[in-house]
Amino acid sequence: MVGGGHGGIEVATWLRRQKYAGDVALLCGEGVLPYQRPPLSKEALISPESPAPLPLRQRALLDRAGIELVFSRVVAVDRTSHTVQLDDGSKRTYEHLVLATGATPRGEDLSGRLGGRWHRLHTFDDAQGLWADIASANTVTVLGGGVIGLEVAAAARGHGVAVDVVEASERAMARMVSPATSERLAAVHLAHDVRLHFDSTITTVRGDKPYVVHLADGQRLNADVLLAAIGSAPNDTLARMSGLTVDGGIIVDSCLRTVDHSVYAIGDCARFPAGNATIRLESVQNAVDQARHVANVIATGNDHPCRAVPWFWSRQYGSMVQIAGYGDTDEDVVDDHGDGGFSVFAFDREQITIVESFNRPSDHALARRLLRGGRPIAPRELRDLGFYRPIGHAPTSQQTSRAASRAGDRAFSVTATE
Amino acid sequence: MARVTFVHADGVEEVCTVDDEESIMEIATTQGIDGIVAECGGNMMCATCHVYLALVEQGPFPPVSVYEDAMLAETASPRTAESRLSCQLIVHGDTDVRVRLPESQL
Repeated sequence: MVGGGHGGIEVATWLRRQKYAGDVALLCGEGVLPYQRPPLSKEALISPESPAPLPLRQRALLDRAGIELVFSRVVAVDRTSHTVQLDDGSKRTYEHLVLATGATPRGEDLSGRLGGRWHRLHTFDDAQGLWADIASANTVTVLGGGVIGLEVAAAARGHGVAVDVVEASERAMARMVSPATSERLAAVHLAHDVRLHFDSTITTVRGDKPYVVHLADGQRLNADVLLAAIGSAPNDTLARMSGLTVDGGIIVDSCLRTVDHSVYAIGDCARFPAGNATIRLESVQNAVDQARHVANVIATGNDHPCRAVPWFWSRQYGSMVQIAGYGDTDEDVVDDHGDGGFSVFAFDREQITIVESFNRPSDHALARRLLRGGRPIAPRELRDLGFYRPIGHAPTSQQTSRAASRAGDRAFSVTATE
Repeated sequence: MARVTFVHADGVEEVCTVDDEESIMEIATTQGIDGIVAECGGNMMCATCHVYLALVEQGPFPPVSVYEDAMLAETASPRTAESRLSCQLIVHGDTDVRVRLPESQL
């Protein structure tokens, strides 16, 4: 496994669970034991005092299971000789290679382009640096109203810090959720005094702590801390250099194999077929599901398509947003009783594709179970299937695709294949 | 040092000990107990860290919250009065507890 994130370590441990008898090595370029990433953007789970990240598996367990940890970066793959070259100069051979290289947050060039010192959130060290700065800040400006930006905004408000969120699109988490869920999320943030700037971009940043952030519409914001949370790009350079097909992620088939059938790609770095499109998902759940699939294929030798139903969650101010499924939608059925929770059921030509639940975890769990079952579900069936009585009916004006462009492929982005 | 005994569905027992405050789910996943999946990493977003905890042993733990209750309605193995999500069961000090694992989590 190349990459010591959620996906890489899950392949390793799942291989052993499937009684795989071969050698298993996990190549961790980050140089530390694989750790939990979701807490990095959330309140209370990390603080400047946190001495170390939360490990995904104990070292002793990995040793016992015969999983070798190698704290080196892979610099080259020679697919002809089945060899990887590490940055410490050594080489290793493989029978199966799993690329689980993840993604890197965009915005590396922001400091140079706009001015100011921009944080990005990727590693535990990034998170420590960010939260240390937020702890002594009065104001934070977050560029990007996606899931990471909003989670950090919520956590920062928990520390009593004033927050501005600047988002280029017209709504919150636009690439992941329906307008109804965006609206509720925005309302929750507004209720916590977050200043949301939609349809808005930053032209320049001047000064220093506080920085003065200039928006395109002329507004100026003061910020002690700047965070760029504008999506991420797949780490597919190694694959490209190895001659594998790469196009906004490492291209894999429905079994998660690259064009070289001894090389797999999983998680944030992989672009896989889904209906008539290919998608790349950025979530722990997807990485873990794909990891288990590949481990099963390797351990059993039985090639079969991965049929995991994508799902995702976020917690902001104690509110939970959960999403199950993916795909195009032409109609949303909104079930909202005004009791604080609701679900949005998205359909494409009368068949369910996505269920979003806001503080409605039982709808989410039921949705995942039904979507896993694979039987088509039409809008009229929702009530009988056990969902909380749907009351609203809100056809969207046009066929929309939950998140769209390849340029902005964030979590749950969908791109049509030609 | 706290101690957790995991009783697998086939009756096999495994004992884990822990020095720090940790949830039973975390203990199971970091120490490699099969039978706890914990898809969401302990955020009450899934129901794949389901365990059975005898009512007489539930005293030291907080009661089932509204969210936990909602997720327990969707467990893969049958829910009983003893059903809990192990991510919500934090052990510390000299806790010594015994949980039964369900047949399946998915």
